[in-house]
Amino acid sequence: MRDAGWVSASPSPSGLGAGARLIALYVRRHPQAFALATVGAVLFGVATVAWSWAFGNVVEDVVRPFFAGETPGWRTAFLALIGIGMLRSTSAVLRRANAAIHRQRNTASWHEMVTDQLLAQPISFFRRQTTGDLLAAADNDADAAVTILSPLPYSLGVMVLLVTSIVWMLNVDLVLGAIGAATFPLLILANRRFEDKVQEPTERVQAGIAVLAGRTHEMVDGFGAVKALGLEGLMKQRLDEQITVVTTAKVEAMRIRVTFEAVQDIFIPVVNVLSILLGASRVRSGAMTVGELVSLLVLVNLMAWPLRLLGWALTDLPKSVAGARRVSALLNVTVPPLSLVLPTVASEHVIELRSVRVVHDDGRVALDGIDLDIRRGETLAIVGPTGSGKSTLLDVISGLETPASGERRVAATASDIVMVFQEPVVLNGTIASNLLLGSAGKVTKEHLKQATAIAEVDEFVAGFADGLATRVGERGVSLSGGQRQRLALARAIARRPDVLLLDDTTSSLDAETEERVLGRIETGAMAETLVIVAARPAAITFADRLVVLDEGKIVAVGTQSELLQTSPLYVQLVEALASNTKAPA
Amino acid sequence: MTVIVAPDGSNQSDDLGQSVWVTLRRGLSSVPELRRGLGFTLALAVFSALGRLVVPLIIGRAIDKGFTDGRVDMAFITRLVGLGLVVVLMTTAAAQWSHYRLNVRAEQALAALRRSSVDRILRLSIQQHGDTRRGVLVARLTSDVETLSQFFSWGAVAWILDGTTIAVAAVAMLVVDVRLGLIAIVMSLPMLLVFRHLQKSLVEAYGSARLHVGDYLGRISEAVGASQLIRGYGATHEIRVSTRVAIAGRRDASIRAGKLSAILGVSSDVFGTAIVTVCLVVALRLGPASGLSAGAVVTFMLLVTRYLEPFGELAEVVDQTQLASSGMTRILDLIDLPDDVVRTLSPLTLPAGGLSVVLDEVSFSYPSRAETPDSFALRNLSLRIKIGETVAIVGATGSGKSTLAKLIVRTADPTSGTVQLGGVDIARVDPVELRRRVQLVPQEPFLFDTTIAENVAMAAVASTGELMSTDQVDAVLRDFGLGDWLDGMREGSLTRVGERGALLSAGERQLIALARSRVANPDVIVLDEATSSVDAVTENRLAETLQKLGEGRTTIVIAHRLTTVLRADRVVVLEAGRIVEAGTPSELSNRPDGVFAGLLKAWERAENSESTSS
Repeated sequence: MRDAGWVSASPSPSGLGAGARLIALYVRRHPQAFALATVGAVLFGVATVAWSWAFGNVVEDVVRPFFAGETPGWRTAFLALIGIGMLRSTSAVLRRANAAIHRQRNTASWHEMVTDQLLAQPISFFRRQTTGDLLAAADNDADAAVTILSPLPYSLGVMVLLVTSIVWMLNVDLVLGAIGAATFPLLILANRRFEDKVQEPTERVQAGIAVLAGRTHEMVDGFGAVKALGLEGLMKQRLDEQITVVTTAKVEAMRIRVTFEAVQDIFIPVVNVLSILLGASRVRSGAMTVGELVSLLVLVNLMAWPLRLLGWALTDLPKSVAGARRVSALLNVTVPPLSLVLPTVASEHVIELRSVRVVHDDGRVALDGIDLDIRRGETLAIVGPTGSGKSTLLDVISGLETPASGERRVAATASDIVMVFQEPVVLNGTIASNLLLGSAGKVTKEHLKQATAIAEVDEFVAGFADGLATRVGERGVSLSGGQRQRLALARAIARRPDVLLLDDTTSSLDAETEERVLGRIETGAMAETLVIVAARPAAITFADRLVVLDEGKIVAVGTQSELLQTSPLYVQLVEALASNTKAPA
Repeated sequence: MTVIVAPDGSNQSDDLGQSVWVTLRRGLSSVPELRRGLGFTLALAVFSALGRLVVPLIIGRAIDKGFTDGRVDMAFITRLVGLGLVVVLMTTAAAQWSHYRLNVRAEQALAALRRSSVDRILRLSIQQHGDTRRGVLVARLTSDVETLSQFFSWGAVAWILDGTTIAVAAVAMLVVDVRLGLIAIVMSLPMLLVFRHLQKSLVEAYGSARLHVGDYLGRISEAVGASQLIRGYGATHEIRVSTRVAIAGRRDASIRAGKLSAILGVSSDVFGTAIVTVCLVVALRLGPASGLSAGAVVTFMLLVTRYLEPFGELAEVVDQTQLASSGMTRILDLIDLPDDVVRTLSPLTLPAGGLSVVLDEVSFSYPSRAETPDSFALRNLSLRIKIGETVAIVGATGSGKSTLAKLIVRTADPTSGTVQLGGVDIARVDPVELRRRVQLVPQEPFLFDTTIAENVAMAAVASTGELMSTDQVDAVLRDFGLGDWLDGMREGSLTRVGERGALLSAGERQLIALARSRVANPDVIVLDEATSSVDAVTENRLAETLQKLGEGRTTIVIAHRLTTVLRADRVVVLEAGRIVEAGTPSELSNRPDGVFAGLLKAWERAENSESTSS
């Protein structure tokens, strides 16, 4: 990330300056491949000019005299033609292979930096960003940022080629050379104009496709809702509209492109044909030979393709700058520093919170003035109405959420604090790799066995032929909500954490299973200290102490009997639970 | 279904030519936009290819007739050049015209493919949709169509223009001199073998790169989506390492592809030099006596370059063609999926007014778990629910409650037995009518990325055909006792809910789903733990509203709260897919040794232990 700051230093957002700086950055990152590609490109340029010269030589010195009845020497001219031809091919391979290497290495660099950045950011970062934007930066934007690298060495080669051939043409014939020399800048100018014109519809296409992709995702993800609410017509209409927007913009961009290419395509042959006319008169006046004329024509022809490529490179540059800018914007988000000082904690406590305040991005205060000591070995339950900040408090305890102000102190002995989330997450991989996530080599076989038994993972794993080696996720079996939840529980208790945090974890299990599993965690001493966000009675009955939250503040702390006497909110909650939550389902 | 579930790229055949050809024919027959005017476009392309021959021909003629014995025939050259100019202008215009026609047709065809795919996806049954990975469906409409689009604007044009140029240049070479022409063509044949060999490795390298990209993106989306888990479990390093492996794999495979494509692209150049040299030597051997002239030889040599150039260009589009071909196949496979049977039968209509619900000897097993014998979610279950009755379904996790709900709203079909509404087998009812009359309120409702109001208003579409107005939605929400909640929202009912409703809490999303079911006004309503995330206090407030919602409707409640169960007309207890008890709540709770009574007692004990500690 050290050199990702090139964008912020850029004075003009889309000018050539930013492009040049971006290219310089790529060259700095992987200089060798770039150097080899450029050498190849320059050699290729020189060889291209030389080849047309050799071709002209063969015509002038061998073919014409031969058919005029002479017996010219042909070896030198032929060997030059073959030798230069081979040099041209070899340099082309050198250029293209190294251009690919340079581009791919730079792509990998972006990918690595994005990965590091995403893994370094705290979870609050992910609440501020949409998944789509982050994935776009990791994929499309990074790709766009390096597109310039494919035509870059070639374009540099073309520049050399242009200068070489203009000098050579001027040398052969001043007038014809001047016409040729004027041709190329004209073409490049026309290209710039075209790019300006095509930019607007192209942007419309890109934006349109993004919206279309978003709507498609929504249609597929919300398919159940679409069906249940009979929204097929509405969805179809919304998507059809967007398809029309995209198609219209595409056809418009294409019309501009085709018109420009027609001009460009006509330009070279017209110059070519006219050169024959002019060249013929020069030959008549004896100012040049037929061979030289042929060389000139061959050269102008050879330039057609490189010139088009140069045009593309100029087109790609702003796109790459825009892509690199978006990736860099992600990379430039600083990671908040971690405090390395371990404050002292009272010996009977594992975690202490002091005046903790958490503010969400929309300005809402989630927690305020939280003072809480979690005692070693206790089971603590957090209760409170929806939106009172229970999950946020658990995030703060776990260290996943950094408070806006206040302090979180952790005992040195509590090195492993693990949370089981409300919504269980299973990563792509095997069941075993999921169970051992972040703890491979640290969990004993015995502990793993106990964990899968207690969380009742064994029950469903027994049904899989591959057992714990069964692949889950994208390229494997899909687990049900209950199975995922049990897997998540087993994952946490297999580690035998010092502090285990359960965020309403067992809500997708039925009450009986919940009671059974929680009981086993408790009696089996799967964790020294247990903190539970409780929404059902089972969790409350296990708690040694309870914390009552309301609107982000702790309104009461105590044992159940204490709270029943002191906290009206707790009484209200318990009553609601008692009348409501006791269905055996 | 296997067709659209096939992992991307797995249907790559070894024989590129054949699979592409099959796809091409299939595409042409199913997408009329592609066929329209194709003949004229091809004719234009052939004509435009002639333009590429003008300069070699003119140079040759000029050398032979224009510059003879040191004299220059300006009149002849002027005529020649004038003619050449006209031809060049016409052929270039033809080239761009055919290019444009091809692209416009292609875009129209792509729009048609997109529309057909959308249409087909929307016509999938819930079961079909459930069998297909979501990413796969999205990929059809996005990346597959984009691949095709790129192919049409670049690869397809190359095939048509380059293909015709090769053919026309070959013919021209033979016309200039049959012997030299044959030599050149025969010498170019080994190049095709080299191409074929390299192309296979190239396609493999690209394929490998794509797999690694998939792994990389999979890891990245985990880094984003599972950020809490990865940090909370100290798995950052582990994830970083596996992501690096994917990144390096992608990089190395792409570099391999880059090297191969460099060699592939240049090989036509190498062959060009060799062929030009050999033909020159042969031409000099044959000499003037054979009828060759200096101009003809020069023309011929320039024609050889024209003939070989397009091969290099085609080598560049091989991978793109392969990708486009498999993308096209996948899209066509999706579009050609057969419809659900019910649509082809003449659908039956449900009786007007309230509807009874009858399950007759219903069994259900999940297809994916069919190999194990003990996999039935429901077995021979029969249940009759009268019009307007409220039935609570009770049972442990995995007892079959949710499956029962799925069968009643027909998001799944029974393996055996029938489900009837108002006496009609729902398998024979038009799905559109069915979902107007029966509504499921799910535990995790899906919200669209728009306002609260629109999310509720959508529910009116099925019955009235249009969205409900915001004012009406507000009235419904206030009638639901949600006025306070609404006033707390930044922009009231016009507050946006975010992607999948992410800006609301799980409980709030459930409130919207309840409001939807009110707006949809069905005759049968199935509540599947519909208020599980709403806190107890709010739910108490909702109780009356829920009761109102159920009035006059047949209501099935998958219940998780005691009050709901006790308020029901009847309770049905499920165990391992069978009904073990059914009756009124008071009946069941008084039954000695009854399952329900046992469950109640267990809960009372829990309550007691709570009160003894107090």
